Amino acid sequence: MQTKLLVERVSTIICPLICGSLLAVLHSGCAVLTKTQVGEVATFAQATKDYGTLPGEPIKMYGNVLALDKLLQVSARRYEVPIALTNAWLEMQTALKRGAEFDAIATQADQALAILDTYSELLTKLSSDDFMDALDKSAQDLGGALDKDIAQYNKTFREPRGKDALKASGSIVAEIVRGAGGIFIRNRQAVWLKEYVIKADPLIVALMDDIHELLGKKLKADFVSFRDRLQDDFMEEARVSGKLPLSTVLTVSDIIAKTDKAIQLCDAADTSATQYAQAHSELVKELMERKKLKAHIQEIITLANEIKAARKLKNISQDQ
Amino acid sequence: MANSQVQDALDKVIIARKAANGARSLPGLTPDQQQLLSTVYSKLSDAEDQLHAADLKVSVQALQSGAKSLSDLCNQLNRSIDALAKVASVIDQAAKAIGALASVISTAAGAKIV
Repeated sequence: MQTKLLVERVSTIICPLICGSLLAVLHSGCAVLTKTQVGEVATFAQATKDYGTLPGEPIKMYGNVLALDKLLQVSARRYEVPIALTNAWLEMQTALKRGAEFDAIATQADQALAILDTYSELLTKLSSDDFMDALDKSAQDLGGALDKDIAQYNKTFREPRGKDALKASGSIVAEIVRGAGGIFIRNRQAVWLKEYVIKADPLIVALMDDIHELLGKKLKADFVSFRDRLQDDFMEEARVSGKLPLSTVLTVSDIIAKTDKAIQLCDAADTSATQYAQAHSELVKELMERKKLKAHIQEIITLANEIKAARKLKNISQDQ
Repeated sequence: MANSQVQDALDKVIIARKAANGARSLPGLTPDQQQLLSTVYSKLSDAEDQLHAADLKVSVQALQSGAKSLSDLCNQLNRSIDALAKVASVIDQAAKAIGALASVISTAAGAKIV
């Protein structure tokens, strides 16, 4: 009775898994995720890691130089009339407020683009070996549990009746489960990975266009315009005052250096955005390209590795 | 480049700011007039900064909207990852159920139920 129950329970779980694996693999033209494809995903994820934090930085720098410039204006005021004191105080507050406003915009940009890191991490996760490692362990546990049941069955029912002990078959079941499950997982990884990168590609391209618009066009133009304003102010102030204190000259020079650095950063982040979109499109191509002989061989090797892993599991189970 | 309305406003503010800046060095200004010009200049340059901020906000909103679409896709991706993880977990559950069966047989035999 128990044996029947055991067989029923095992077959209700294992049979759909095996049938599902085979159907899925047949349906998708036997595609499994190859080592090269996993490598491509890993390279993409590694190369694009932390990209999301790039665009926020020049926006913060913009707020910072604007605030410094406003403080510079306060320092250049003449304080002969009482209203100047009130105005200067208000302008200092405005400087801080404007700096904080650009910081907030930068944070919003960073938060929005954090999704790029999440996306890369998920692609890596989807193509990882973790599922296979978990499958190895579960299949091994399943084989062990079956052998334990059979041993108990032999001890309880067969030995007292002088019948031959049933042979432990847990390792065979483990091998089948590992083999079918492994191919099923590798197949799903290949199918889903393709599906998601294809769906993501236009979104990535649009996002990178937005970054180009924000940094390569708007913010860079803002910095250039700001540098012109700084130059106008500096020259006007020097003309009106007749001479400038060293502190003013040092502050202006610091602002120029920061502005130039920020313009370089805008260019770098803009170029990276273009490269990001290109790298993603290459990844799509790599996963979609009609398979060459080399890729076919890799696929066969991957399948063979799955079978080898299943065999290995069988040997481990038999040794235990 | 800013959108055309913002750009028009920016162009006008920049012209006014430059005029105010140039006027500060005009000869014969009283301290009150100097003060007024400085204040006008400061207000105009801040208006310029606010226009830049508003323009950047529009771009960041576009980024947020694009990121939202990618985020929705990531949620689907996550569900697929969960589905793959479930394969091992289903087998694990089977192993546990089968593992428990051995002790059921042993207990039942001990109690002479079977």
